[in-house]
Amino acid sequence: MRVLSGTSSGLPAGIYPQLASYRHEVFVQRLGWQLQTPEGVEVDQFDRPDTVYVVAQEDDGRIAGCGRLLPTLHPYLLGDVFPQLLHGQTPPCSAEVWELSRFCALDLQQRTHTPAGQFSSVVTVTLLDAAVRCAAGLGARRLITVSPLGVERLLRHAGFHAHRAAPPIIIDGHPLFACYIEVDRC
Amino acid sequence: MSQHSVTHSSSSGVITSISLSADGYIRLRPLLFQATELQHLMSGLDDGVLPRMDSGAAIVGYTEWVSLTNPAITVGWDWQLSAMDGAPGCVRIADPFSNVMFIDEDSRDLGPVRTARLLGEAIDARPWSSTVLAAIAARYS
Repeated sequence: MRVLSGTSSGLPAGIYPQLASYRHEVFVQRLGWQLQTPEGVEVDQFDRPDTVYVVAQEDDGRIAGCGRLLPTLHPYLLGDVFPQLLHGQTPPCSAEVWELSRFCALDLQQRTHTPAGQFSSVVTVTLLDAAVRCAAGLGARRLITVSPLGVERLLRHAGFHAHRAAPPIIIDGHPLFACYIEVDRC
Repeated sequence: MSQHSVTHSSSSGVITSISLSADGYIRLRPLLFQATELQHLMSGLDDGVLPRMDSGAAIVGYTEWVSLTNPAITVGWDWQLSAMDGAPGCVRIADPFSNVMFIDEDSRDLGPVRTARLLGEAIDARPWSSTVLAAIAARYS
């Protein structure tokens, strides 16, 4: 497996369309997220020319995971769609804070649904580490994410320095919260 | 470093300040946390979203609490159902998750690991088990 990173135009040829298709299968078909997407691909207003992607690719070319990095100096998911998760705090707007979204590490050849959702793969920690390193290379000191509560356990177990930005809120039946991931490690 | 802060009276009557740092942490001394009232927010049984490091068929879950301050302290921890003096009760099974960074007398960070451990000790000194049991019973009965 290798991990690629770059903007849509900076990734190797063919990867970005493959990534959009992979995201559709994971988030729309497998996880059932109610997203307004074109047929067969999952893209939204935050997939822009300045958006940076991290992509885990198996040796046979299949995508095994992905994540999306957005600078908080420009519109991003938490600030625009889930500002309530900050409980009145001003959303971060800094070159030192990048948002990680659409993160998943799921083997699509495994047809059985697992309760671990988009975090079931052993690829998860490798990809998350790559995302943090990529963001650090772009000037980030910390990432911020919209996360389910259970992610904290994974982050702690993997040795990441993460903490909450504010209390969790139940959205669509699931407790979500805004989570900071520091670029440094515990 | 603070974005904004609020002063309030602790249970000891001392005027204190809780503020939010630019990195998202609320920095305060352990004694102030111990004096800060926490309100139950939500509790639930383990939904199996992620594997836990503990074992077996025990009944486990999570609980979330918040302070009434602004900015709000958020703290949550995993628990396991256990027999306590012959009656069912909840026992914390892992260090809490929070937006708190404890500081020492010189306002130096104690670090995330030590903070989590001290938070756990402070939580264990509070009577939270019956509240969680009642919330679980109301939610799942």
